[in-house]
Amino acid sequence: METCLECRALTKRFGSARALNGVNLTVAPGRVVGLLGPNGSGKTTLIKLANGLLTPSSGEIAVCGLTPGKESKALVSYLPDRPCLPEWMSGEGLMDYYADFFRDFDRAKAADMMARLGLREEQRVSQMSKGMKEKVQLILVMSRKAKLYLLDEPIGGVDPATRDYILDTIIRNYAEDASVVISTHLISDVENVLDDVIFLRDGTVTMQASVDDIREQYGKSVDALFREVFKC
Amino acid sequence: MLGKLMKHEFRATGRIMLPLLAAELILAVLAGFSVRGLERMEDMSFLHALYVLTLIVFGLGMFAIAVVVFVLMIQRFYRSLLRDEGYLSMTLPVTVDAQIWAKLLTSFVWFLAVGALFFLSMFVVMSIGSYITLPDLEEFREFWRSMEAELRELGVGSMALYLFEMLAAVFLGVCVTCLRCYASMAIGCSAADHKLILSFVAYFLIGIALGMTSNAAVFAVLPRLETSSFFEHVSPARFMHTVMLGNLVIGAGLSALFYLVTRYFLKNKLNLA
Amino acid sequence: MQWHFDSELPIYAQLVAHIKRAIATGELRPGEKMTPVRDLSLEAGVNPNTMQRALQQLEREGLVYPQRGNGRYVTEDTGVIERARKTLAAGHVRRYREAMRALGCSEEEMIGLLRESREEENDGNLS
Repeated sequence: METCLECRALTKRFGSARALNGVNLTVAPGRVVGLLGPNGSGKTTLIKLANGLLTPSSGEIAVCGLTPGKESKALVSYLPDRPCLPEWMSGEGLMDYYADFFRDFDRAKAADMMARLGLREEQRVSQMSKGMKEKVQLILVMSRKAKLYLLDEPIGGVDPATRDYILDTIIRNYAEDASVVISTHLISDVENVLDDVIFLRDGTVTMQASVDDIREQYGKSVDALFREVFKC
Repeated sequence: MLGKLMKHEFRATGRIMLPLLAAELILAVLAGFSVRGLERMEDMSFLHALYVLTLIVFGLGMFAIAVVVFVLMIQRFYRSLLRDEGYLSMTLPVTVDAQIWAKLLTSFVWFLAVGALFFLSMFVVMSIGSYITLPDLEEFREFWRSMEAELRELGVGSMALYLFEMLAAVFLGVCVTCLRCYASMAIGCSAADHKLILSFVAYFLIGIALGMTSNAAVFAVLPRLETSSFFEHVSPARFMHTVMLGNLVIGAGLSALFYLVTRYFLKNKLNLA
Repeated sequence: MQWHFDSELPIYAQLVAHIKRAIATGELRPGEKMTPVRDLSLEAGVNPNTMQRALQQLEREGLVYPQRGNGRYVTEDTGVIERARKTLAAGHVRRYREAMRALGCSEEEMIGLLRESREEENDGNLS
């Protein structure tokens, strides 16, 4: 089957600094993958390249076999690491927006999730708290039936109940033909929902393996291994 | 997808522009009554001051709307494509071309609306203030015919063609204005920091480049014009149309240039903070 | 069921152990229909692929069986369940002995302590 995300010798330079340096990786359909690395290791750069928000300096990146562009963007559901919803829009307006642009957007599902989390559809983003904004963004992203979900730091700075809800939603949303890439540095929280992990360090992939293989091979959790590998 | 982008663009801008346009129209009506009131009044009363104030507010309102429509054109492009909202809008399954056109066409409609508002509110003020009566259609036709006749006598061609050329010039003028701002912002925001300052720098550098180019063109053409027999043989109509057409060609060329620059930077040099 | 995971062992192996235990203790009765994979993985808070792998392992061990298009069932073969129960018990015994040996207890002491503990429990129940 076709891969959901593939990078070959992918390099991204900002001026003279290399944010990514010759990254090779493959994400097969039906996998939940953790993109792990300390801050500044290139996680966000990689995700932005997959979204077409950045252009590679050299090498290749493909989403479901497509170079990032109009067609690939229809297949990717992206949660950025920052609030990006227009402040003047309401929950309802945002659902209109998503329904208009994304054919795979399930409005009923989004409305249901909003109600479940106690969010009012008529409320404007400007009137929402930081946590509410994050929830709305997550709901919109997870209410799509995409082929690749790119979640950049989805659990950074959320309360434990919301974190559990996010992980639950990822499991509930699981589909055999879609994959999920979660970038985070909070590994212990997500470890149980991951199939595979990719360790990024200074823009290079230092490991790509399955969680259970790591546990079997090293006799320790991915979190413990990560702490050892990235010890300051 | 262009239609959907424009629909949401109008939603985003309409919530600001429509109330402003409506308010200014109401102000125009009030200003009309003020004019009428002032004509009948000689002393400096409280009412007199109120009438004057209304007229001032109406005038300032017109100016403010002209500023707002310009600022909104810049702000919509900058905020929705090049800042945090860009994480949403630039990951929509649409082409960069559709994004630029949606912004351009929407701004264009608002520029037109403000232009129309200007004439409409002037008309409202004057008709209520009883300077003029509702124009007679027959009178207007008469005016048009006389103008045409006069132009024909001068040998400068048809009125309709001038009107068309003028409208095209306005259209391209708006395009050049918007696209020059878009290109500047797209260039400035491709940097990691100081995006806004660099956008201004880009804008002024474009201005300098344009100035130098046009100076060079004038110096290249002028000496030849002096020695050529162009003016002796050409009819006034031909001359006027040549000038107008030249203006349009330059406008179209600049629009295309700025469009391509904007497109290139949004597509290849996007660098959201 | 309360799911708890150790960080040293593979998650799938812990899922296998957990479900095996539920079958051995009768929490999941012979012939009972299993919760679907997705719900089970939600309940445990683990990746559905990992849960799937655990269930396949249990299938291989004969503790559960799939019925085409109708989910999975706990085996009705009480012999298999009994064997699983014995294996689990043997594991506990082994760990008990290892821990006691580490404390320097002799075989006689281990048995003696077990007997003592049972008498204490009985006394506690009587009073």
